[in-house]
Amino acid sequence: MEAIDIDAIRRHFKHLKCDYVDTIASTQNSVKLGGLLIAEEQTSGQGRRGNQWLTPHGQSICLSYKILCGMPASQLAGFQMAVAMATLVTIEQFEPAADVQLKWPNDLYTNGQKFAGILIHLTPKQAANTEINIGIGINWTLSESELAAVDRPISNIPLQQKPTRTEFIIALIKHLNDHIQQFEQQGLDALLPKWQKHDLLTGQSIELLGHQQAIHGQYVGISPQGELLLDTSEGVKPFNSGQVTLRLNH
Amino acid sequence: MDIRKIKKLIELLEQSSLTEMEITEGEETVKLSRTSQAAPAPAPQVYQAAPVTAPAPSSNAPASNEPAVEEPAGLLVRSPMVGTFYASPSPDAEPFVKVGQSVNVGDTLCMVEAMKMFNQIESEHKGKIKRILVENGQPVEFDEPLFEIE
Repeated sequence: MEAIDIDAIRRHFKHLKCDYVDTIASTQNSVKLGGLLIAEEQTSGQGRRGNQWLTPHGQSICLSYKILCGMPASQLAGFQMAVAMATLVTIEQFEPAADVQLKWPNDLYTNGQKFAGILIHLTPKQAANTEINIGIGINWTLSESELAAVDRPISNIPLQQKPTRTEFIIALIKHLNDHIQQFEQQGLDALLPKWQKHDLLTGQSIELLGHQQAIHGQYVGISPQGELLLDTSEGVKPFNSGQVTLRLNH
Repeated sequence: MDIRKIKKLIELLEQSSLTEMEITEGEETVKLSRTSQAAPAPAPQVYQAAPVTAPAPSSNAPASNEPAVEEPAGLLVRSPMVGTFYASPSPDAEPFVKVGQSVNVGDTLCMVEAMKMFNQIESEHKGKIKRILVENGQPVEFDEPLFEIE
Protein backbone atom coordinates (compact mmCIF):
# COMPACT_ATOMS: atom_id res chain seq x y z
CA MET A 1 0.00 0.00 0.00
CA GLU A 2 1.44 3.35 -1.04
CA ALA A 3 1.74 6.08 1.55
CA ILE A 4 -0.63 9.04 1.44
CA ASP A 5 0.84 11.98 -0.52
CA ILE A 6 0.19 14.78 1.95
CA ASP A 7 1.92 17.37 -0.28
CA ALA A 8 -0.57 16.68 -3.07
CA ILE A 9 -3.42 17.20 -0.57
CA ARG A 10 -1.84 20.44 0.68
CA ARG A 11 -1.60 21.76 -2.90
CA HIS A 12 -5.35 21.27 -3.31
CA PHE A 13 -6.32 22.89 -0.01
CA LYS A 14 -3.95 25.79 0.54
CA HIS A 15 -5.99 27.27 3.39
CA LEU A 16 -6.11 24.03 5.36
CA LYS A 17 -3.52 22.95 7.89
CA CYS A 18 -2.94 19.42 6.61
CA ASP A 19 -1.08 16.99 8.82
CA TYR A 20 -0.17 13.39 8.25
CA VAL A 21 1.05 11.08 10.98
CA ASP A 22 1.98 7.43 10.99
CA THR A 23 0.51 6.46 14.35
CA ILE A 24 -1.73 8.39 16.68
CA ALA A 25 -4.06 7.55 19.56
CA SER A 26 -7.03 9.17 17.85
CA THR A 27 -7.21 11.81 15.10
CA GLN A 28 -10.43 13.14 16.63
CA ASN A 29 -8.64 14.22 19.82
CA SER A 30 -5.68 15.87 18.07
CA VAL A 31 -6.95 17.76 15.03
CA LYS A 32 -6.77 21.56 15.24
CA LEU A 33 -9.37 24.07 14.07
CA GLY A 34 -9.03 24.73 10.35
CA GLY A 35 -7.10 21.51 10.03
CA LEU A 36 -7.15 18.11 8.42
CA LEU A 37 -5.37 15.33 10.25
CA ILE A 38 -4.76 12.00 8.52
CA ALA A 39 -3.28 8.96 10.23
CA GLU A 40 -2.09 5.59 8.93
CA GLU A 41 -2.89 3.89 12.20
CA GLN A 42 -4.92 4.69 15.29
CA THR A 43 -4.07 2.94 18.53
CA SER A 44 -7.32 3.96 20.22
CA GLY A 45 -9.58 4.95 17.37
CA GLN A 46 -12.97 6.11 18.53
CA GLY A 47 -16.38 4.99 17.55
CA ARG A 48 -19.56 6.07 19.27
CA ARG A 49 -19.31 6.22 23.10
CA GLY A 50 -15.97 4.50 23.36
CA ASN A 51 -16.66 1.75 20.84
CA GLN A 52 -13.34 0.98 19.29
CA TRP A 53 -12.83 1.75 15.61
CA LEU A 54 -10.27 -0.64 14.18
CA THR A 55 -7.58 1.05 12.12
CA PRO A 56 -4.78 -1.37 11.22
CA HIS A 57 -1.70 0.27 9.75
CA GLY A 58 -2.09 1.55 6.18
CA GLN A 59 -5.33 -0.34 5.46
CA SER A 60 -7.84 2.46 6.06
CA ILE A 61 -8.66 6.05 5.46
CA CYS A 62 -8.74 7.66 8.83
CA LEU A 63 -9.05 11.41 9.20
CA SER A 64 -10.47 14.25 11.23
CA TYR A 65 -11.46 17.59 9.76
CA LYS A 66 -12.28 20.48 12.08
CA ILE A 67 -14.12 23.56 10.85
CA LEU A 68 -15.93 26.58 12.27
CA CYS A 69 -19.56 26.86 11.21
CA GLY A 70 -21.67 30.01 11.52
CA MET A 71 -24.68 28.15 12.92
CA PRO A 72 -25.52 27.25 16.51
CA ALA A 73 -25.48 23.55 17.42
CA SER A 74 -29.27 23.60 17.82
CA GLN A 75 -29.60 24.19 14.06
CA LEU A 76 -27.18 21.45 13.06
CA ALA A 77 -29.57 18.51 13.42
CA GLY A 78 -29.05 16.36 10.34
CA PHE A 79 -25.55 17.67 9.65
CA GLN A 80 -24.11 14.17 10.10
CA MET A 81 -26.32 12.96 7.25
CA ALA A 82 -24.74 15.57 4.96
CA VAL A 83 -21.32 14.15 5.87
CA ALA A 84 -22.46 10.60 5.10
CA MET A 85 -23.81 11.75 1.74
CA ALA A 86 -20.58 13.58 0.88
CA THR A 87 -18.81 10.25 1.44
CA LEU A 88 -21.33 8.45 -0.76
CA VAL A 89 -20.96 11.04 -3.56
CA THR A 90 -17.17 10.67 -3.39
CA ILE A 91 -17.48 6.91 -3.89
CA GLU A 92 -19.86 7.47 -6.81
CA GLN A 93 -17.39 9.85 -8.41
CA PHE A 94 -15.03 6.90 -8.82
CA GLU A 95 -17.69 4.27 -9.44
CA PRO A 96 -21.18 5.58 -10.25
CA ALA A 97 -22.90 2.23 -9.73
CA ALA A 98 -21.18 1.38 -6.44
CA ASP A 99 -23.42 -0.62 -4.10
CA VAL A 100 -23.74 1.71 -1.10
CA GLN A 101 -26.55 2.05 1.43
CA LEU A 102 -26.93 4.72 4.10
CA LYS A 103 -28.10 3.82 7.57
CA TRP A 104 -29.59 6.58 9.70
CA PRO A 105 -28.05 8.75 10.84
CA ASN A 106 -24.55 8.38 9.45
CA ASP A 107 -23.28 4.88 8.65
CA LEU A 108 -22.33 3.54 5.23
CA TYR A 109 -23.05 -0.07 4.32
CA THR A 110 -22.60 -2.41 1.42
CA ASN A 111 -24.31 -5.77 1.17
CA GLY A 112 -25.43 -5.54 4.79
CA GLN A 113 -21.91 -4.84 6.04
CA LYS A 114 -20.64 -1.56 7.45
CA PHE A 115 -17.53 -0.16 5.76
CA ALA A 116 -17.44 3.46 6.91
CA GLY A 117 -18.27 5.32 10.11
CA ILE A 118 -18.60 8.95 10.99
CA LEU A 119 -18.18 10.58 14.38
CA ILE A 120 -19.00 14.21 15.01
CA HIS A 121 -18.27 16.43 17.99
CA LEU A 122 -19.73 19.92 18.29
CA THR A 123 -18.38 22.66 20.53
CA PRO A 124 -20.30 25.91 20.91
CA LYS A 125 -18.28 29.07 20.28
CA GLN A 126 -19.02 32.77 20.68
CA ALA A 127 -21.65 34.54 18.56
CA ALA A 128 -23.63 31.35 17.85
CA ASN A 129 -20.74 29.74 15.96
CA THR A 130 -19.99 26.06 16.35
CA GLU A 131 -16.75 24.18 16.03
CA ILE A 132 -17.47 20.97 14.11
CA ASN A 133 -15.06 18.10 14.41
CA ILE A 134 -15.75 15.53 11.71
CA GLY A 135 -14.12 12.12 12.07
CA ILE A 136 -14.34 9.70 9.15
CA GLY A 137 -13.09 6.14 9.08
CA ILE A 138 -13.25 4.01 5.93
CA ASN A 139 -12.14 0.40 5.66
CA TRP A 140 -9.97 0.34 2.52
CA THR A 141 -7.92 -2.84 2.23
CA LEU A 142 -8.39 -4.74 5.48
CA SER A 143 -7.53 -8.44 5.20
CA GLU A 144 -10.15 -11.14 5.54
CA SER A 145 -8.86 -11.99 8.99
CA GLU A 146 -8.93 -8.35 10.10
CA LEU A 147 -12.51 -8.01 8.87
CA ALA A 148 -13.50 -11.23 10.62
CA ALA A 149 -11.96 -10.07 13.91
CA VAL A 150 -14.72 -7.51 14.45
CA ASP A 151 -17.83 -8.85 16.18
CA ARG A 152 -20.19 -7.25 13.67
CA PRO A 153 -20.29 -7.76 9.88
CA ILE A 154 -17.93 -5.26 8.26
CA SER A 155 -16.32 -4.99 4.86
CA ASN A 156 -14.01 -2.84 2.76
CA ILE A 157 -15.21 0.06 0.63
CA PRO A 158 -17.12 -1.38 -2.37
CA LEU A 159 -14.89 -0.04 -5.16
CA GLN A 160 -13.72 -2.52 -7.80
CA GLN A 161 -11.04 -0.19 -9.17
CA LYS A 162 -9.72 1.73 -6.22
CA PRO A 163 -8.10 5.13 -6.78
CA THR A 164 -5.16 5.98 -4.53
CA ARG A 165 -6.19 6.98 -1.02
CA THR A 166 -4.68 10.42 -1.77
CA GLU A 167 -7.04 10.87 -4.74
CA PHE A 168 -9.97 9.70 -2.66
CA ILE A 169 -9.21 12.07 0.24
CA ILE A 170 -8.86 15.08 -2.10
CA ALA A 171 -12.24 14.27 -3.66
CA LEU A 172 -13.79 13.63 -0.22
CA ILE A 173 -12.73 17.01 1.22
CA LYS A 174 -14.10 18.80 -1.87
CA HIS A 175 -17.45 17.00 -1.59
CA LEU A 176 -17.51 17.62 2.15
CA ASN A 177 -17.01 21.36 1.60
CA ASP A 178 -19.78 21.38 -1.03
CA HIS A 179 -22.19 19.45 1.20
CA ILE A 180 -21.45 21.60 4.25
CA GLN A 181 -22.14 24.74 2.21
CA GLN A 182 -25.35 23.24 0.86
CA PHE A 183 -26.44 22.28 4.37
CA GLU A 184 -25.75 25.78 5.67
CA GLN A 185 -27.82 27.32 2.88
CA GLN A 186 -30.71 24.87 2.53
CA GLY A 187 -30.58 22.46 5.44
CA LEU A 188 -31.32 18.82 4.75
CA ASP A 189 -34.14 19.43 2.26
CA ALA A 190 -32.00 19.41 -0.86
CA LEU A 191 -30.14 16.30 0.28
CA LEU A 192 -33.03 14.05 1.34
CA PRO A 193 -34.02 12.74 -2.14
CA LYS A 194 -30.48 11.41 -2.57
CA TRP A 195 -30.65 9.81 0.87
CA GLN A 196 -33.92 8.08 0.06
CA LYS A 197 -32.38 6.38 -2.99
CA HIS A 198 -29.76 4.74 -0.79
CA ASP A 199 -31.75 4.31 2.41
CA LEU A 200 -30.93 1.00 4.07
CA LEU A 201 -33.95 1.23 6.38
CA THR A 202 -36.63 1.47 3.67
CA GLY A 203 -39.36 -1.06 4.33
CA GLN A 204 -37.79 -2.30 7.57
CA SER A 205 -39.17 -3.04 10.98
CA ILE A 206 -37.03 -1.25 13.50
CA GLU A 207 -36.14 -1.56 17.11
CA LEU A 208 -34.84 1.65 18.63
CA LEU A 209 -32.70 1.09 21.71
CA GLY A 210 -31.41 3.53 24.28
CA HIS A 211 -34.80 4.72 25.45
CA GLN A 212 -36.31 3.62 28.73
CA GLN A 213 -37.84 0.79 26.80
CA ALA A 214 -37.09 -0.34 23.27
CA ILE A 215 -39.37 1.25 20.69
CA HIS A 216 -40.67 -0.90 17.87
CA GLY A 217 -42.03 0.44 14.63
CA GLN A 218 -42.14 0.38 10.90
CA TYR A 219 -39.68 2.75 9.22
CA VAL A 220 -41.46 5.58 7.45
CA GLY A 221 -38.62 7.94 6.51
CA ILE A 222 -36.57 10.92 7.66
CA SER A 223 -38.02 14.26 8.78
CA PRO A 224 -36.64 17.57 7.41
CA GLN A 225 -34.79 17.88 10.74
CA GLY A 226 -33.10 14.54 10.22
CA GLU A 227 -35.25 12.64 12.72
CA LEU A 228 -36.18 9.01 12.22
CA LEU A 229 -39.89 8.64 11.54
CA LEU A 230 -41.40 5.42 12.88
CA ASP A 231 -44.93 4.15 12.62
CA THR A 232 -45.46 2.89 16.15
CA SER A 233 -48.52 1.64 17.99
CA GLU A 234 -49.18 5.31 18.80
CA GLY A 235 -48.93 6.54 15.21
CA VAL A 236 -46.02 8.05 13.31
CA LYS A 237 -43.52 9.63 15.69
CA PRO A 238 -40.12 11.31 15.16
CA PHE A 239 -37.05 10.07 17.07
CA ASN A 240 -33.75 11.78 17.31
CA SER A 241 -31.72 9.50 19.49
CA GLY A 242 -31.17 5.88 20.19
CA GLN A 243 -29.41 3.02 18.54
CA VAL A 244 -31.16 1.49 15.55
CA THR A 245 -31.27 -2.25 15.23
CA LEU A 246 -33.02 -3.94 12.39
CA ARG A 247 -35.45 -6.76 12.94
CA LEU A 248 -35.89 -9.26 10.19
CA ASN A 249 -39.29 -9.31 8.57
CA HIS A 250 -40.71 -12.78 8.73
CA MET B 1 -46.00 36.41 45.30
CA ASP B 2 -42.57 37.37 44.00
CA ILE B 3 -42.18 36.51 40.29
CA ARG B 4 -38.76 34.98 41.05
CA LYS B 5 -40.34 32.62 43.52
CA ILE B 6 -42.88 31.56 40.91
CA LYS B 7 -40.08 31.00 38.40
CA LYS B 8 -38.33 28.74 40.90
CA LEU B 9 -41.53 26.83 41.49
CA ILE B 10 -41.82 26.25 37.74
CA GLU B 11 -38.28 24.89 37.70
CA LEU B 12 -39.11 22.63 40.62
CA LEU B 13 -42.13 21.30 38.79
CA GLU B 14 -40.06 20.74 35.64
CA GLN B 15 -37.52 18.70 37.52
CA SER B 16 -40.09 16.55 39.23
CA SER B 17 -42.39 13.93 37.87
CA LEU B 18 -45.39 15.81 39.24
CA THR B 19 -48.03 17.13 36.89
CA GLU B 20 -49.57 19.57 39.34
CA MET B 21 -48.42 21.63 42.30
CA GLU B 22 -50.24 24.07 44.56
CA ILE B 23 -48.52 26.36 47.03
CA THR B 24 -50.32 28.54 49.56
CA GLU B 25 -48.48 31.37 51.23
CA GLY B 26 -50.46 33.76 53.40
CA GLU B 27 -53.43 34.85 51.31
CA GLU B 28 -51.99 33.87 47.99
CA THR B 29 -52.12 30.54 46.22
CA VAL B 30 -50.15 29.51 43.17
CA LYS B 31 -51.29 26.51 41.21
CA LEU B 32 -49.05 25.10 38.50
CA SER B 33 -49.89 22.24 36.22
CA ARG B 34 -48.69 20.73 33.01
CA THR B 35 -50.08 18.22 30.55
CA SER B 36 -46.83 16.62 29.38
CA GLN B 37 -43.11 17.13 29.61
CA ALA B 38 -42.87 18.18 25.98
CA ALA B 39 -45.38 20.99 26.32
CA PRO B 40 -44.12 24.39 27.43
CA ALA B 41 -44.82 25.15 31.06
CA PRO B 42 -48.24 26.77 31.34
CA ALA B 43 -48.48 30.31 32.60
CA PRO B 44 -48.81 30.31 36.37
CA GLN B 45 -52.22 31.19 37.74
CA VAL B 46 -52.24 33.36 40.80
CA TYR B 47 -55.41 33.24 42.89
CA GLN B 48 -56.37 35.59 45.66
CA ALA B 49 -57.42 33.38 48.48
CA ALA B 50 -60.97 33.61 49.83
CA PRO B 51 -61.38 36.06 52.76
CA VAL B 52 -61.53 33.25 55.25
CA THR B 53 -58.34 31.36 54.68
CA ALA B 54 -57.71 27.85 55.74
CA PRO B 55 -55.16 27.64 58.49
CA ALA B 56 -51.67 27.20 57.23
CA PRO B 57 -50.36 23.71 57.87
CA SER B 58 -48.60 23.69 61.18
CA SER B 59 -45.58 21.67 62.07
CA ASN B 60 -47.97 19.19 63.65
CA ALA B 61 -49.58 18.45 60.31
CA PRO B 62 -49.22 14.83 59.23
CA ALA B 63 -46.02 14.24 57.35
CA SER B 64 -46.41 14.12 53.63
CA ASN B 65 -45.45 11.01 51.72
CA GLU B 66 -43.74 13.21 49.16
CA PRO B 67 -40.01 13.48 49.77
CA ALA B 68 -38.89 16.98 50.62
CA VAL B 69 -37.65 18.72 47.51
CA GLU B 70 -34.76 21.04 47.99
CA GLU B 71 -35.36 24.27 46.17
CA PRO B 72 -32.65 25.07 43.64
CA ALA B 73 -30.90 28.22 44.71
CA GLY B 74 -28.10 28.38 42.16
CA LEU B 75 -27.79 29.03 38.45
CA LEU B 76 -29.12 26.35 36.16
CA VAL B 77 -27.32 25.01 33.11
CA ARG B 78 -29.94 23.75 30.65
CA SER B 79 -29.81 21.38 27.72
CA PRO B 80 -29.69 23.26 24.41
CA MET B 81 -31.33 20.32 22.62
CA VAL B 82 -33.19 17.06 22.85
CA GLY B 83 -30.79 14.16 23.22
CA THR B 84 -28.99 11.80 25.57
CA PHE B 85 -26.99 13.14 28.52
CA TYR B 86 -23.47 11.83 29.04
CA ALA B 87 -21.44 12.81 32.10
CA SER B 88 -18.10 11.57 30.76
CA PRO B 89 -16.24 11.66 27.41
CA SER B 90 -16.40 7.84 27.14
CA PRO B 91 -18.10 5.15 29.23
CA ASP B 92 -14.99 4.18 31.18
CA ALA B 93 -13.64 7.71 31.64
CA GLU B 94 -13.98 9.97 34.65
CA PRO B 95 -16.96 12.37 34.52
CA PHE B 96 -16.25 15.88 33.24
CA VAL B 97 -17.36 17.34 36.58
CA LYS B 98 -18.43 16.15 40.02
CA VAL B 99 -20.61 17.70 42.71
CA GLY B 100 -18.56 20.19 44.72
CA GLN B 101 -16.12 20.85 41.92
CA SER B 102 -15.33 24.45 40.95
CA VAL B 103 -15.87 25.35 37.32
CA ASN B 104 -15.01 28.34 35.18
CA VAL B 105 -16.83 29.81 32.22
CA GLY B 106 -16.09 27.60 29.21
CA ASP B 107 -15.33 24.42 31.14
CA THR B 108 -16.94 21.32 29.64
CA LEU B 109 -19.69 19.99 31.92
CA CYS B 110 -21.13 17.12 29.86
CA MET B 111 -22.06 15.97 26.39
CA VAL B 112 -25.53 15.67 24.90
CA GLU B 113 -25.79 13.24 22.02
CA ALA B 114 -28.37 13.90 19.35
CA MET B 115 -28.44 11.54 16.40
CA LYS B 116 -24.84 10.44 17.01
CA MET B 117 -23.52 14.00 17.13
CA PHE B 118 -21.91 14.78 20.44
CA ASN B 119 -22.55 18.29 21.69
CA GLN B 120 -20.12 19.55 24.25
CA ILE B 121 -21.96 21.58 26.88
CA GLU B 122 -19.84 24.28 28.46
CA SER B 123 -20.45 26.22 31.63
CA GLU B 124 -21.78 29.72 31.20
CA HIS B 125 -21.12 30.44 34.84
CA LYS B 126 -18.23 30.45 37.26
CA GLY B 127 -18.93 28.67 40.50
CA LYS B 128 -19.26 25.33 42.19
CA ILE B 129 -21.34 22.37 40.98
CA LYS B 130 -24.11 22.11 43.55
CA ARG B 131 -26.20 19.40 41.95
CA ILE B 132 -26.24 17.25 38.83
CA LEU B 133 -29.90 16.98 37.95
CA VAL B 134 -29.85 14.14 35.41
CA GLU B 135 -28.27 10.73 35.27
CA ASN B 136 -25.67 9.44 32.85
CA GLY B 137 -27.33 8.03 29.74
CA GLN B 138 -30.69 9.65 30.49
CA PRO B 139 -32.73 11.23 27.67
CA VAL B 140 -33.08 15.00 28.12
CA GLU B 141 -35.56 17.46 26.71
CA PHE B 142 -34.82 20.87 25.23
CA ASP B 143 -34.19 23.39 28.04
CA GLU B 144 -34.19 20.70 30.74
CA PRO B 145 -31.98 21.73 33.69
CA LEU B 146 -28.79 19.63 33.80
CA PHE B 147 -26.66 21.26 36.48
CA GLU B 148 -27.09 23.67 39.32
CA ILE B 149 -24.12 25.91 39.93
CA GLU B 150 -23.74 28.09 43.02
